Amino acid sequence: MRTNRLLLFTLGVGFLILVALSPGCADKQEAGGFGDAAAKVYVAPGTYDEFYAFMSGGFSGQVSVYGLPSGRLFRVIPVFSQDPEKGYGYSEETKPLLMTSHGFIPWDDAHHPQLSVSDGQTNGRWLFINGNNTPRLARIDLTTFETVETIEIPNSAGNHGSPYVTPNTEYVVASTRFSVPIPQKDVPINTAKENFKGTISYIKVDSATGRMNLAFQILVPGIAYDLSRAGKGPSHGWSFFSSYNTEQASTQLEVNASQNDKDFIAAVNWKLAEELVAQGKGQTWPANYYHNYMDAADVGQSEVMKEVIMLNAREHPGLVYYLPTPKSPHGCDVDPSGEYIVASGKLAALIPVHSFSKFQQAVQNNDFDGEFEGIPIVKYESVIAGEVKEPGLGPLHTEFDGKGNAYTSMFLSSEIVKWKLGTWEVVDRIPTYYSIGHLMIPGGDTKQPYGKYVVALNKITKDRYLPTGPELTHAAQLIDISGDKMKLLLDFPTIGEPHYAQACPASLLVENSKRWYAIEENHNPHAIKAEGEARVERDGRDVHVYLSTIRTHFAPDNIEGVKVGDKVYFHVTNLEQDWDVPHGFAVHGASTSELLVMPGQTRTLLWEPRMAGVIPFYCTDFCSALHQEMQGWIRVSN
Amino acid sequence: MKQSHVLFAAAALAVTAFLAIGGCSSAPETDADRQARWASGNLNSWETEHGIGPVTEDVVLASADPNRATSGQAIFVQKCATCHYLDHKKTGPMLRDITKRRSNAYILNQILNPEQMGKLHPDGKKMVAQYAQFMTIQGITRENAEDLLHFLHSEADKPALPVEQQPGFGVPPPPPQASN
Repeated sequence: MRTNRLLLFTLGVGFLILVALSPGCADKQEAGGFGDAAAKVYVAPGTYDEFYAFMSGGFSGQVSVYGLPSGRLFRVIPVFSQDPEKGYGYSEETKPLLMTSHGFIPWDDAHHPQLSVSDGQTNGRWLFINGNNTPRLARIDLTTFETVETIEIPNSAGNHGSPYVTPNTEYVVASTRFSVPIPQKDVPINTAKENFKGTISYIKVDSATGRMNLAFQILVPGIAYDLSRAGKGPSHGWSFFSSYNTEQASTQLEVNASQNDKDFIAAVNWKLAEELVAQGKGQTWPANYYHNYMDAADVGQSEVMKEVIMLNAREHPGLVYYLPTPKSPHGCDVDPSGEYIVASGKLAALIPVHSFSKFQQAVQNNDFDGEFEGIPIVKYESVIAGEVKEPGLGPLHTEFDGKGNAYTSMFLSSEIVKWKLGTWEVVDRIPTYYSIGHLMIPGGDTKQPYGKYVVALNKITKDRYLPTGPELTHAAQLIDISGDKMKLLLDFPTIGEPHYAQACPASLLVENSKRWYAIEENHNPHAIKAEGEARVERDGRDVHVYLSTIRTHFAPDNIEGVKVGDKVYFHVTNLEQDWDVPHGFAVHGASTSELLVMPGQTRTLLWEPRMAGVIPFYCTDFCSALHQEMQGWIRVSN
Repeated sequence: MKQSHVLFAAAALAVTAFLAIGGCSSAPETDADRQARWASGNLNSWETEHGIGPVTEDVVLASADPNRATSGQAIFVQKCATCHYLDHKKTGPMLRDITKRRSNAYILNQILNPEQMGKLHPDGKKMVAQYAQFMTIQGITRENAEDLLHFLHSEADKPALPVEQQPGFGVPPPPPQASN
């Protein structure tokens, strides 16, 4: 009862602040002008940005790549969604990446980009991102900026707390935001408390190849495991997961999942889990999930996996502890030293910060406050390091500048609040426009952040841009944090919803960026290495066209002998060996997209002609002065 | 077999080295200086005749080495025949008599540095205008380019061939109709 009143009061204050920040107010706030902001974000034509930023595309299922400080968009990397611009998910080579146990699913809701790390610092090798809806993870190769692997997570629903990495990218994690029966079964929904469970999954990453493998899952009580970070330094070997709905409500969650004064941070000892699995303590559960990857020949392969190793948390003392944390925590962020775990209770009036060393001490002292479905609850007073008082409304996420400061996003009061680790005092605040979700400092989750900028990732833009009908762009805001006072430098629109982003110095990636694929190393079984190998082969009703491209012709450019009802596979090899010379391929009547073929690469388009005639095909990517001449015809006979 | 067209110029190296430096400047020109000079369109007479790129001295072949010519033919088929036949016009010019029209150094520079040849060299610019195309970069090494040179020298005096016998010609006729 009392809790409900507090909640209503909190929401009411939030509403008033939103009103105060609504249109009209922005002009006043900015009336003082931006001083030298323009100079600070100006990256002169022909020069490079200092940072790459990788932003999730949210419900676009993609990742977008921006430069900082300019806010220039460089590239959109398709991950969980088909992308007709690049033929991703349409070409025969890339279709397998979108396979799941539910079939071909060309969309997902991508939330959290995660750069790979070594010794707790960004190493520039891979970018991971989660698919929330059909639980999946993807790996993007940062030499090519292409998605090279996806893995489905079985025994999961709502893969939100993912894919945060351990300090040497030993694992990426995945956790269930939506508890469900595990394994799935047909039960009344209102038996959630009795029947629903959660899992926390550890996906091993091969240090040489990056290849992912679901190493084990931990069966945990059925509450919502929301976000995560791995420990580092003293807390290396642990992961922390925020949770909500410890009420285990199954209806009207906005009220019923906000009853308890405290939910939990789940602390998971993944080193112990590793040992338990090595000792054979895990159970082998039947499963059915897809692991898809581009093979050595750059051709997508799908493997169907049939089992998984499960550790039941309550059967293994010391594996999981719950740290009480006020009011539906969302962000769960570990500071650069690895000592502090910042848990932002989104409905809380303060930001609690847990201490890893106090947590360890409390465990030694058996300082517990009962248990929850067999998981010990550590006493709040024994684990808390401090509380940031009156930080603002709706604290969500925290990143660090490496200079002893933390920055927390405040969704309800639309601001970023800067506070000091150790003293917990608020030292600065800056409005954001509007309704900030995540925020990002380049390397802000690592041991050594590059504390020069913070990027606000905003859900609502209202009056910030020219209107475009009912739907407005989501947006990012670049804020200078190099001085004592935060300073807004730049707004720029984003693609889809930029839930989270990560950034790293450009210097980590520039030198390793691939410029073309060496034709000699093209092992696609349908590749041709020279124009003289171009040919057409028939195999029953399948026709294989081995087509080469180079400025400015296809070989062959006249194809005859195809019949209505044939399946025609155009295997297009781009023989160019130069940077920035892809060729496109489109044929009239194709029910897929174009192909866009990188230099030295082979991509295949399946075309099923439905009527007799002479059908043109052509290059879709303006490649040269004679691009218009880069075309051919295919004759289809009855 | 002796190739009469191959130059025998044993004593020219010292002279050409002097010419390549560009005359009277006392300090040797750095790579950066040279790039800046090319970008400003200021090519010396050696460069005008022999092209710009990694080759900055005359290249003398005592004779066309048959083994290297064979290797050069394989590279020609894979990398060059996409755009060039010896005796038939394709994307780029016919190459049967190229060693008679251009110096060895010019041919190597064109293969190894096609972008700058097309943008900065007066003859290269004319070719780009004529063919509406820059010659593509094919990732050919210096050694492979020399192999090509041996191949082109060995072909220079042979008679022209019909198109289907051109090195690298290979697109076969379409497949037969399905039988069903």
